[in-house]
Amino acid sequence: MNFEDIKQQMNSQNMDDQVIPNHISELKKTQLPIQKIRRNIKTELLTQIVIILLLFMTPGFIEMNPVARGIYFILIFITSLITIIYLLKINSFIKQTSNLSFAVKDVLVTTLYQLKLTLEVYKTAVISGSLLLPAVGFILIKGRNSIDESAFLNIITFNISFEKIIFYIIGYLVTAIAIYIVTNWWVDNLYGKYINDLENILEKLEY
Amino acid sequence: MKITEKEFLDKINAHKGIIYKVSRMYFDEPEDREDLFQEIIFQLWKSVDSFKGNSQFSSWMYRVALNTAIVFYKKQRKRIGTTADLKTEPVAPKDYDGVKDKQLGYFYKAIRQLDKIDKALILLYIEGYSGKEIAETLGLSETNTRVKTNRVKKQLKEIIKTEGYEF
Repeated sequence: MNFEDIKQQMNSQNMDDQVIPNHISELKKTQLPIQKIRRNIKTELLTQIVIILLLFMTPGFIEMNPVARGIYFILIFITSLITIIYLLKINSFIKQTSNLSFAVKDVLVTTLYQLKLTLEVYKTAVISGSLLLPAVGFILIKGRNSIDESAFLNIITFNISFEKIIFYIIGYLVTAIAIYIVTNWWVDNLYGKYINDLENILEKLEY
Repeated sequence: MKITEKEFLDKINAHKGIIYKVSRMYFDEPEDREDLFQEIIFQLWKSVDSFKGNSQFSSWMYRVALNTAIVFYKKQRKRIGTTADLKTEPVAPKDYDGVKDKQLGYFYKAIRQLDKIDKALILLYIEGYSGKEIAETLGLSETNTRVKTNRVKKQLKEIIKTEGYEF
């Protein structure tokens, strides 16, 4: 096998089947995995904005006692703040584009770093935001006007039996752990394979 | 000075062999090659401002094309009923040399058994890039590049021999 012959044969190949378009707009829509990740993240961001808006509107449809309503809005406000901070961070990631003029190793390392960082921010934001949701749901159920207001006040001031407190704490912890596990599984399932692929390529580059 | 879309496409057209070779090296199915071919043009256009003229335009094109193929591109869909490599070769030119074309088909087929990094390395080697230039493109040390190049050449010869493509 002579590499010089191979080179000559490669250069003399007929390339008529590959045509350069007259305009960039004629190119097909990009299929890069990273673009798919960005599209997924964008869709999830929009979903979260809609959920937050719905949560703010919910007390308009449910009659709640004033204390419950106040606590409800405080919790939703905190959840929204966490989401907005995360939105800003994710937005900066979406706008960032790796410079493909750099060496392959540099592009690999930068892409992996950006991707891992973004997914960690994503996980943290989803988990911390979601941890408040069981409390929000609890207030929506227990804070309705039709339910005795004093019963609600007794719960939030811990003026209830020790067994009930333990019951609520265990219920909350189980929900929190479930949210943590599901979020991690979801993110790893969606994006983990791509990260593993990049790590394998980087490993082979070093070898 | 900012390059216009037309100037860019003219320049790409003059060097389209680079995109063609990278696409063909990474994928055997014509649809996948076509997808990668288009993706590389898109990424070149997005990166064109980063070309400062410090290196040759062709070297810069190789970097962007290989980065697109290695780091970002992945086959998107499973094809039903994969066609053999030699059945999917382009239409033969007038001065068609059947034997040489077959040899090249075997060579590409053997190359596709290499991993993504080794494909890039051997392509740059065949194109006559120096060890230093290959090292810079891949981000490796020159020593590592030299060791890898020798290993990949040996591996490629082994594949060709094992598959019975000897030429």
